[in-house]
Amino acid sequence: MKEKISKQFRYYFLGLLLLTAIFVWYAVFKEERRGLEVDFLDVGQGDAIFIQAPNGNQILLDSGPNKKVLTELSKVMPFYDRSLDMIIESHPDNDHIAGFVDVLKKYNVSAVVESGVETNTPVYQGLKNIIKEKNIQKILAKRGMRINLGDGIYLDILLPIVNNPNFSPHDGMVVLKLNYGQNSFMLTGDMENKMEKYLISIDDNLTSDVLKIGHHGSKTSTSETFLGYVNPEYAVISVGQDNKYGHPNQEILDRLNQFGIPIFRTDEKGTIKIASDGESLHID
Amino acid sequence: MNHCWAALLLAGFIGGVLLRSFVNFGPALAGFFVFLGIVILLLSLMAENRKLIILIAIFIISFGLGIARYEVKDYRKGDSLEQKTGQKVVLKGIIVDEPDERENYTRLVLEHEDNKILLYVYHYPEFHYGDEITVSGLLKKPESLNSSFDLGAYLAKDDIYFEMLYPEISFISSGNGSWIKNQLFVLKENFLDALGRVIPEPNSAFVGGLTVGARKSIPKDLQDDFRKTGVIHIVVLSGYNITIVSDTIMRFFGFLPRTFGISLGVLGIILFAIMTGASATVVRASLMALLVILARATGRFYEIGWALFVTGFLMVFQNPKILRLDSSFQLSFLATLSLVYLAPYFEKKISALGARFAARRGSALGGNLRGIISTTLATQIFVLPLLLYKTGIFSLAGLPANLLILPFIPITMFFGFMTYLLSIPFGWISYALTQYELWVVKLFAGFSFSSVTISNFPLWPILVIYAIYVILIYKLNEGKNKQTI
Repeated sequence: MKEKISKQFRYYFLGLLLLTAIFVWYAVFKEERRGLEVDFLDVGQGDAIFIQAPNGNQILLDSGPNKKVLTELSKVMPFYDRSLDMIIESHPDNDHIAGFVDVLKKYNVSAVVESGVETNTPVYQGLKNIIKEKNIQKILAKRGMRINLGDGIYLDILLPIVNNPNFSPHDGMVVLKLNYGQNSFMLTGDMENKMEKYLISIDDNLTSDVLKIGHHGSKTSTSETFLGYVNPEYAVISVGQDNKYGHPNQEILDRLNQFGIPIFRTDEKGTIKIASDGESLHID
Repeated sequence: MNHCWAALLLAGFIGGVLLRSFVNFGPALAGFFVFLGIVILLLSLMAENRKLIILIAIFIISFGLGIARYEVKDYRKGDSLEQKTGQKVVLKGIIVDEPDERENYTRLVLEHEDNKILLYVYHYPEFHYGDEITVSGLLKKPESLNSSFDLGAYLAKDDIYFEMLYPEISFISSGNGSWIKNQLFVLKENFLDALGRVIPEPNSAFVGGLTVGARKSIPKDLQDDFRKTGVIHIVVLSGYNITIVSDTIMRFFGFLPRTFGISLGVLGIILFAIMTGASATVVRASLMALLVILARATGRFYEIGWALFVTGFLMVFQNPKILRLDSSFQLSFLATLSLVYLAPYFEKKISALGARFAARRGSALGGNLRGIISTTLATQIFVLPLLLYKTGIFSLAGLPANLLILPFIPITMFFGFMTYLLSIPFGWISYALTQYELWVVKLFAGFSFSSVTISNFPLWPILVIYAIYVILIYKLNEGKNKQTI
C-alpha cells in the first residue's frame, strides 16, 4: 500500500514540475513586450479598446455591451494578470460601458476616467455605485490633459472641453489621441459630425495613422472634412455582426474606399491587433 | 418470474406517461385503459392460461394509470391570470429562483399568487432570489422562436405558464425567500466570484458550469463548440457529470481503504447538491449517483439496478413531466444505468485486452485509467442517442473528445473547489486543465467533419436503439448469472 502511494505521489510531483516549467516559460514569453499594443476587441456591437505600453501599463478604453469583454481581455492579457491601470468611459451609453460592471468585479482597477456626462440608466448608476464602493480614483477628462504611459507614449485628451453632466452623451464624449513616436491613433468613441466640426475648428494637429471610425460607422459620423483632416492610413470599425442599426453605413464604407483607406472591421476579422514600435505599424 | 409483474407495472406506467407527454387525447383515455384492464382481469378468471392474461391486464391498467397521473399534474383550475394574457398588467410578486443570467438578458421566475411567470429583464439593475418586486408589462403565453422546440411545454414542467418581456420593474424589499436557499445562493455567488477573480474567462465560466452547474454565460460560440463535439452535457446539464464524478472520486481514492473512498464519494455528491442550490433536478441526480456508489460499495449490481428503476419510477410519479422534458433527469438516469450494467463489463474486457499488451504493468494508475475509459465508453454509448435526439447534432468527434476530456473533469472540479478555499496556485492549475480541455474542444470543433446536423430527428429510431440496448444488456447479464451459478 505504502509503495503504491509513493509511486502515485511521484507521478503527481512530476506533473506539478512540468506545469511549473510551462508556467515560467509562458510568463517569460508574455512579459517580453515589444512596443505599444492597441487591440480593438471583438465585443460585438460596441467599443472596447485595450492599450498596453511596453512597460506593462494597461488601459481599457470602453468595454462593449456585456461580459464578452472578459473573454476578449483574457486573450490579450496574461492569465495571471488581474489588474488594469486605468479604465476610460468615453461616454455613458450601454454599448460602451456595460462590460465595465463585470470588469470591475473581476479586475483590480486603479483609476477611472469619465466624460462627466451623467445618465439615469441602471447600468450607469450601477457602475457609479461600484466605483464608489471600491473607492477607485475618479478623473474627469478635459481637453489639454495628457495621460503618460511611459516610454514616450502619451494619450492626449482632445474633447470634451467642459465637463457638463447634462450634455447628451455623444456631445460630451471623451475623444483621445494616442501618440508614440511617429505613430498616432485617433480614438473617437461615438463622436458625431457636430463635434467633429468643432474639433477641426480648435485643433490643427489631427493627423493620425489609425482612425477608429466614430459611432460604429454610422452615417452621422466621419464627415469628409474630418476624414480629410485626420488623413488616416488605416480605419478600424468596431461593430457587431448583423446589428439592428445597420452599422456600418454603406455611405461611410464608400467614403473610406474613395479615400483609399483600408478598413478593418471587428465583425469580419474579430479582435484587431495593432502593434507600433514608434516608427511603423504592424496589423493582424 | 417474481419480478415480471413489477417490471410490467413500471413499464406500463412509464409508457402511459410517455404517450401522454407527446399526445393528449383527454382524460377519458386513462379511464378507458384502466377499464379495459379490469375487464381483461375479470375475463381471466374464466380463462385457461390465467397467468399471461393477468400480466397483460396489469400492463394495461398501469398504462392507464400513467396517463391519469399526467392528467392530474397537468390539471390547473381556471385562474384569474389566464384571462389576462395578452393584456398589460401590473403584478406584485417574489423572485423564487436564482436569476439565470444569459448573454443578452437575465431570466427571473416571479411568483404571483401561486402563478409562476418567467421574466426576461436587462442585466442591470440586478435582482436576487427572494426580492419582492412589482412588474408592469404585457403578459404572454410562452412562445418558442423555432418550431422544433416547444418552450411552453418545457416551462410547464416547472409550472411556469406565463412570460413577460422586459417589464418595468420596481423593487420593494429583499429577503422574502427561504433563509437556507438564500444562504446557498450567496455561497454559490461568492464561489463564482472567487473563481472569476483568479481564473480568466471563458475558463472561469467553464469551471463554474462544471463545479456548481452555474448556467452563467459561457460564450455562445463556445457553447456551440461544446455541442458539436458532444461534450455539452458536462457544463449545461448538471445531472450527468455528478454521476461520473462521484464514480471517479472513488476510483481516484481507490488506493485508500474502501470505506474512505466511499465516504469521499458520498461527501462529494452532498457538497455538489448543496452548492448547486439543491434544486429538484440536482436532488434527483444526486440520488441516482448515490445508487452508483452503493452498487460499487456492495458489488450487488443486480439489486441496485432494480433500485435504480424504482427510484426513476418514483421520480416520474412525483413529476411525470420530467420524463420527456427534463434532460438532466434523462441523462443522469441513463448514465447511472450504464455505470451499473455496462461499465463493469467494459472494464473486464479492457483489462483482458490490457493484460495481453502489458502483462506486468498493473500499476494503480493503469487501473484508474482503465476504469475511467470504461466509464466514459459505457456512458457515452448510452447517452449519445439521447443527445442526438435532443440537440439534433450527431457528433462524430464525440467519443474521442469525451475520452480525452472526461478523465480530467473530476480533477478539474477538485481544483475548482480548491480555488475557492486557497485561491491562486489552485486557480492556475484549474486554468491549465481547462485550457487543455477547451483546446481539445476547439480542435475537434474545427474539423468540418466533426459533427452532422440532423434537424428534427424523429423519436422512434431512438426508442429502437434503446430497446436494442436493453436486450443486449439482458443477454450480457444472463451470461454472467450463469457463470456465477
